Amino acid sequence: MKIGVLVKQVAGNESPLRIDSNEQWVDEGSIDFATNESDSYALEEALQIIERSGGEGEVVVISMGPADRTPKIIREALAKGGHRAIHIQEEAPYEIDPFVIASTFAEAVKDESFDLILSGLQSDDLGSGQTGVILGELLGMSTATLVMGVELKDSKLRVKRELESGWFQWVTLPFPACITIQSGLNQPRYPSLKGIMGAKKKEIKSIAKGDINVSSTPMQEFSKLYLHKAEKRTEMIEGSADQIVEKMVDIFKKEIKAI
Amino acid sequence: METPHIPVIFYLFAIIALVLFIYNIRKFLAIRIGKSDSDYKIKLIPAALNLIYYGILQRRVFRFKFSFAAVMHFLIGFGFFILLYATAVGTFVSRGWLINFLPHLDTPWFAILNDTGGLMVFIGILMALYRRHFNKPKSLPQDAFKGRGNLFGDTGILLIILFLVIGGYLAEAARLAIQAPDTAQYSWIGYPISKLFSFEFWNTAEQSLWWSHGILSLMAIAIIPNTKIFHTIASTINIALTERDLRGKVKPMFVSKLMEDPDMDPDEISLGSTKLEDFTWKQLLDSIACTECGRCTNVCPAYNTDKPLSPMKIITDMRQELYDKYLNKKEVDGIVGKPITETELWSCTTCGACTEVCPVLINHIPTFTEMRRYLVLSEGKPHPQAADSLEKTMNTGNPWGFSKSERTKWASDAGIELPLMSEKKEAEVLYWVGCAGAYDPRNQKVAKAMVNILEAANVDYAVLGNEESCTGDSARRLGEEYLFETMALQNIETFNKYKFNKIITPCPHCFHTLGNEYGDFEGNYEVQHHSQFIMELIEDGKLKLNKYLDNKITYHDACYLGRHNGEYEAPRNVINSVIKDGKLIEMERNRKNSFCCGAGGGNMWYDIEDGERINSVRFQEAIDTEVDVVATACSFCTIMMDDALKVKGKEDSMQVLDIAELVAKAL
Amino acid sequence: MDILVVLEGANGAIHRISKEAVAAAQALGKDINQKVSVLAFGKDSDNLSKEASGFNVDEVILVEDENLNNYSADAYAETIKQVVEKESPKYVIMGYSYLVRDFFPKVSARLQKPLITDVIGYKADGGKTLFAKQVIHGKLTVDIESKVDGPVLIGFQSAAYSEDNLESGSAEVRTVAVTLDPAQLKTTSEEPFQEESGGVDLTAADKIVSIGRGIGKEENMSLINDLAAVLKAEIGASRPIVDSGWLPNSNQVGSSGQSVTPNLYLALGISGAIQHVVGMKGSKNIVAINRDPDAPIFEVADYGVVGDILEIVPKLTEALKNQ
Repeated sequence: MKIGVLVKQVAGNESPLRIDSNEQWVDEGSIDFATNESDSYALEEALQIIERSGGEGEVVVISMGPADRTPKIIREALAKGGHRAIHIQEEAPYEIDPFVIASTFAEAVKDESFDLILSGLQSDDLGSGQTGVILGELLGMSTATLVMGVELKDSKLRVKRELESGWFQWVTLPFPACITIQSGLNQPRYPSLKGIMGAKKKEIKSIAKGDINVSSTPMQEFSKLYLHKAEKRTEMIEGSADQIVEKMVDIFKKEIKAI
Repeated sequence: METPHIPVIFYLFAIIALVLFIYNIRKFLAIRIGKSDSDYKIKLIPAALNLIYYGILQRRVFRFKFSFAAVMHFLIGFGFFILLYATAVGTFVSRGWLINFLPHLDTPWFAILNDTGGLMVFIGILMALYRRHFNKPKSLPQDAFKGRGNLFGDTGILLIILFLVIGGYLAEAARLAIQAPDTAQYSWIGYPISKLFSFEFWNTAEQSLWWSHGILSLMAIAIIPNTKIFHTIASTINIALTERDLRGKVKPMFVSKLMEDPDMDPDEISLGSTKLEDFTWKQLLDSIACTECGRCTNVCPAYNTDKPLSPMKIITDMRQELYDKYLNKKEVDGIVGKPITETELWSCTTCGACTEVCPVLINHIPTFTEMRRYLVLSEGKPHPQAADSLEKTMNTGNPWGFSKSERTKWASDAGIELPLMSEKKEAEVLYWVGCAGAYDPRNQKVAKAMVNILEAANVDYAVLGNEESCTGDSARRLGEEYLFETMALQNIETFNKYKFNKIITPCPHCFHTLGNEYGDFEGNYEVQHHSQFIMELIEDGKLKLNKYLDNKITYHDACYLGRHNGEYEAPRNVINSVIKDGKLIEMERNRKNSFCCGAGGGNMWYDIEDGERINSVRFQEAIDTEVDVVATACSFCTIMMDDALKVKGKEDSMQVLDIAELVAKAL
Repeated sequence: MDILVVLEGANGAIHRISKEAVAAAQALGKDINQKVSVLAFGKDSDNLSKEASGFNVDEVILVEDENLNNYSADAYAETIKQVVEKESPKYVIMGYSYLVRDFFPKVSARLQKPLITDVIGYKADGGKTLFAKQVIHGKLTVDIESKVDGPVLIGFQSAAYSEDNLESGSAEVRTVAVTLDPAQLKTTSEEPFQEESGGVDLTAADKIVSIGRGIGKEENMSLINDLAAVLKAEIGASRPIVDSGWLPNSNQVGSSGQSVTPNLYLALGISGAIQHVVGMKGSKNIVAINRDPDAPIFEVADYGVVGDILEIVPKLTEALKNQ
């Protein structure tokens, strides 16, 4: 089976964010980058699917990002067991329209004829949750999202979709399929040194984004990026116990929308 | 005076016994399966000193002066030396060798010594039998007859020796009865026995008694290597061959050199140790030398809180596999996984208590660490929770995953302007804050206290600020040698940009790693723990202490400061300098015998579910001293003890304070 | 057609998230002077359309097709696409639930029109309307602009708008037909089910009431249970509570426990030691009560109360019951 896995390098959870002067993105100097969380689970699932079917097949790691920093997560994915990689080199300013992003991927992998494409359900930076689905549509593959379990049944794919509040639903779809993976369905493996050493010999095909012929133009754009709340200041609630409780209920209702 | 004539045929039996002995002792050659060790250099004088101190004087056996086990072993051991001497003398004299220099069998003092030796062994064996059957320590094999692959088990060989001792007395009694020397009564045990029966009895019995004792002795000698008594030989050899300096030091792998090698094939290299061939001959010898005394397991904090780890089990597991492979020609693929499980390995906090008490100088920690390396580097299976911290260390330079660029936020938030190395370029002292001091709110208080102290003493210091990055200690202890090396090389590159005379740090893990382990990578720096530095400041009069605290304080020894680096007194001196009556109160287990807080060996980053929390057990000891302050000298200990303080519900009556905080209070 | 809100059903009625979407659409409609219609389809389409006819909307479109009786991403996407092509709305709005995530992007792909998801608000700025969403671990907000003519697809984030603001009224129901070719509907689904949980999964919790040592005695736990019940929240705990055996391991939040990101994290009597904080820092709203004003928890909390939880918690429970 030939499986493609989309992995994205995103800003780490703890990185301080400074909006750049154009108000379009953040200053990357102070950011620690990491692999997008749900993509790690997608990669692990891909590796396990190959292992479960007797080790026949290949996992191709695909990522789009700058030439200098993206190879780090690609190599990490190869170290975990990916067989080869495709790196679409994109420099800032980065595309934010999911349709164009998906079209770029579609064009880059159209000749690969993947049986299955996995990606994380959404990226931790843009968080649109659409790229995987649109990619599937563009390549004529069936799609499913928020997958928490994968089975191969009667040469079709049967996946467990997560719904809210502990509900799930099994969905069956034919190959070729493009599915997006929810975090938590497996335990992503650690890249062993042995794997890292082996990864050095694995192929990473680099393509400049500009060399990919994508006909669509962006349909949506960032107008302005800003900090919604003021730099976190803890709002201290004061007064007598009764006054405090009253204010808390109000905050729960109006600000936090918890009730 | 006649000496017994030893028939020639006896010598034939002796030669057979010797041949069998040599055949059995060939198991030593099993260590040839192991790798050679290029760092190993035996130095004759230290080896001889080791032999005397640990081997003959058995210094470690008497760790607790007159414990039951110590007395028992003294009796058996020294009693045996005496009998050995006596037998050797007897043999020489009977052949007429050196007859002018050696005492005759019936020389009074010799006779007394001889019999006393026998009695010592006799009583010692009885004590041992009692201990094994009625007073069984938990860590020892519970089925006394089985032992760990020892012939006749533990009890069997004790009974054989007992039999030999009794036989020896009987043979002696026979000789005394028949020869009736003038000084017979000096054989103060053999003589009364000889009086128990008639001359005729002894006359008839003498030959059989002599022969049975003789043959039994030869048989016992022949099988020594297959019984528990083997330790007398194996342990002695191991003690002589152990380099004291290398104890606890983990060998670097020089991964970066490996990675640069274009011909390197990851399937050919062993990353970490699991096959017997992966270990050095000395590590294999360590396993052979284990006497199964169980002391390591008895002091292990993991074992004592019901975790699956028993250091003795791992060492003897290794030995069993070694014998299986070498003697029984079995296929041994690797010892990690089976019989040594992952949980056992992850339970170790690398506190070093096992290494400290081992009477035969086994070096447990590097062996365990190398097995962890196999799990992490070859199989990619660190403990799942630890994997998270390792990835965070890799991505953000600290195991908590906080942003690299916020490493000095603790200072800027408090309005402290730290002198930066990037600006000063050089300073007398480089203050290494450490990840805990930078990111953990509890330890940030310690970092601030340190700044107060450095300022008050007018020290010319600077910090690396955002250029500081994890030393890689946790990574190394967890077996992630690649990550450790990456961090080390990075830090060394940073250090090399600046000039400083010494590095001081409040964290013993950083202290140990920077001071002892960076040297392998050309990072040679003088590193001091803050307790040492503060003591120097106090002694030089550079730090003036004004207030004197009237708390009752106890000090919890940090493993990486104490056992691993021998520093027990500096923190105590610092504490005593700031308390009114100048004397801190000791917990029962202190200094070399201190009980770990439970965070070492990477355990800070994950949980082994079984049993009690190690820190709770240790904290209870502190509670028992009835102090109101528990002083610590390590970032991890502070976190652990603080946690335990809450679990035990002592927030209102006790506090945990780092020694820097104590000193800052006294400024 | 101006604004079309597509309804999702839950247990035979309109899903809460769809009602929020209608409320949002009504507000948007007012601000940009556009009318709001709704679309109902799927196995409960009859009930949904009846309920929707009580909303203050222009009309209710009803699609009935047996291919829509069981959920299928292809069928749902195709249905919306065909209705959009017939009706030409300028905006197509849905509440972005876990189910909607499965098919709404497919509509975007098939129509080749932009979909903006997890929207928390909008700005009607003269000629153009900007839609706001949170990005980069939810720490920043961005206004997104569509560069093409409609329809623009919008997925509103759960609870961004309140169903309380949904205006009722009356609307006519109009049936529209779609053509669904079963051969083109690749995915099929089974009945949804709830999973037997072997322990609480805090990572999925929307609200967590978390306790630390400040709770004092084990018997005070009943106060917490009451509060959690009235808030419909899960219970979390810091390490010492679990160590003391008052709660099982699965309730532990922190570096050795679970990492959680609920909408509301109520930290009661938790000091904020780093091992705990790393497990809940990602919470959207952290409210902390602790008697120690210097407790580190206040450094990560959005709202803080310096006080006695044993005094405040029972009063809070009472007050919430009366809501």
